[in-house]
Amino acid sequence: MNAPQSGLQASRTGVAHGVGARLPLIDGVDKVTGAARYTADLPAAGAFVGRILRSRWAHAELLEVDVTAARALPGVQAVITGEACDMPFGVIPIAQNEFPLARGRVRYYGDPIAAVAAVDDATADAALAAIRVRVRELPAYFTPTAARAPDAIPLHDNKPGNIEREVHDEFGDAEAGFSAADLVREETYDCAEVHHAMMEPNAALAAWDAERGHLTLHSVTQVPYYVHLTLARCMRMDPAHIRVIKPFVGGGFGHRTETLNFEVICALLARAARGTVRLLQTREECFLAHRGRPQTQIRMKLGLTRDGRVTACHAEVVQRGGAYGGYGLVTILYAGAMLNGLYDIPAVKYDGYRVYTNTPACGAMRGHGTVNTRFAFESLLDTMAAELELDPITVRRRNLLKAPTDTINGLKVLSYGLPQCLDRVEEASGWRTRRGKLGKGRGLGMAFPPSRCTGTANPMR
Amino acid sequence: MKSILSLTLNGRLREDVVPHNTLLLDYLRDGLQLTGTKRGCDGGECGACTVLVDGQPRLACSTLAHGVAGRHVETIEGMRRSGRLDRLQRAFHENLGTQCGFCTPGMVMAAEALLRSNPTPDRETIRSALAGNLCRCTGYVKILDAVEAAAREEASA
Repeated sequence: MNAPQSGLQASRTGVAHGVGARLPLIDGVDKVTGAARYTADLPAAGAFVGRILRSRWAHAELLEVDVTAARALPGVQAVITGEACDMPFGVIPIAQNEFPLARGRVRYYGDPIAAVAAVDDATADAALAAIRVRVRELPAYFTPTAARAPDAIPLHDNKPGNIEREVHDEFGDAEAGFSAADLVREETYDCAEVHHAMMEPNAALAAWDAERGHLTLHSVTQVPYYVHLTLARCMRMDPAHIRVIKPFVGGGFGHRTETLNFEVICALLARAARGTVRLLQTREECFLAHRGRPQTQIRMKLGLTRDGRVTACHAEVVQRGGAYGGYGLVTILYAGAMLNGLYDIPAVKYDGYRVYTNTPACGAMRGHGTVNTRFAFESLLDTMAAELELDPITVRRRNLLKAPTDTINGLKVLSYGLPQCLDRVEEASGWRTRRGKLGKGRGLGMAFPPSRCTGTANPMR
Repeated sequence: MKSILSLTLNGRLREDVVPHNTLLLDYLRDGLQLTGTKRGCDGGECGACTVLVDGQPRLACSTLAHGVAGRHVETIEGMRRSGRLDRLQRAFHENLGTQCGFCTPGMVMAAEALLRSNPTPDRETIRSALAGNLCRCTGYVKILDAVEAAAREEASA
């Protein structure tokens, strides 16, 4: 077994315990033996195979979804469409605009249109192929600029201009801060969209107890309680009649922090099939469910005094949100609010725009909302420090907070290990001796991480 | 089309009626409920389904079940020795080489193949042997530590 790392006293039993002791994971044996059961590993003998028919159009009006032929196939137990659920869902109560199966319109390539439960894979595939869909294609918008054009059709009727959310904040006096600066610079940064790519593909197993009208759902979720409430809402059921079970989960990283459409679809299928349905998703379908970090454009402006004090920050952030609300309102809020909390900045102005586009919906992903803005801030700070001939560590030391304190936007910073962390990194990386001497193409760099994220200031090689 | 598939699985002879187009992965998971072998991608990208065929690492998702007829197939379920953890399993457990655990069976099998052919690999050799196995929790350092620890134990045994 592992010995305690830092001189902890062993207890009377001789076994190290308490804070600082290194102990194996409580479920480690199950994981290393393959005994741990993830959703797709659960016994499902007799379960029907679930499959989803997905939109081949990025934006279209649904004129007809004809499932007659599919329903008539031998071995097909249930076929459902948008008629199966007329209650929209979404993790943010004021932005619930997603249906498990599309009603009237599809808004991204992959939007679920219909679903089948059948006795085996081949029959399920044949049933999907037998569903006829007629659409009227609409113009599709893949960039925030296209979606915000004056003649663009709103993806959602209550959001003209396809702006899902605007956030405009100013704490302190940014204009005065820039006037007081010796150096003001502005840069634009483009960050690509990122998916979580958790190792375990999405999966759900729904059992409908037809005798009692009760539902049991096993799913890969990180948030069984949200899934529970969403199922009760979408299926118009008493929550007491629903049980949601989260078995071992093969990663999530934010992908599974809200109810996903396939979970509701699996439950609806089980009720329609009056039995148990297993819905396994391909890796491609995970990418279509998405909920990752949005493509983001950031215009970052900083003011610095000659000795490296930040006098003001102004960030304009545009996020490509995708087709549905999801966590969007929160992501665009965090992108600005968390500019504070790491440094002592006297003035921060923020303009955020979350835009609906015909792409899979974005959501929460590690360091929710904060990573891209932090990247832009740290990059610009480095560029300006170089221009002022200041060392990257020195310029960061000049702008540290003194805990405990409240930031200008009211974040409480009660403990603050950054100064010590900087010292450690400076020493451990050999910053003073190695920097600039590692040869062509190699170097030492410094940046603070997003303040909501775990981790420390990492030297990057 | 179906026919009888004979093979040695985790040391025991098996004979099953298996369709010709069944993948080794589906044969193991759906046919035999050996669900320790995982499906993590749409084909050959992640390494989560790594098993041993005649001691060599193979991706069960990209191998036909009938393609291993007459061969020795080993999965994570066959790694325990008399009910106890194997040295690699114990090393992964004690070095925190698992996080979500989904990549772990494939990692252990790929490492097992390495240690059989090279009981004293250096770190670079371990990295290269595990290059086809992804861990999205990014616990790679502890995975490498675990394989090194197992190799050390083997050397001192």
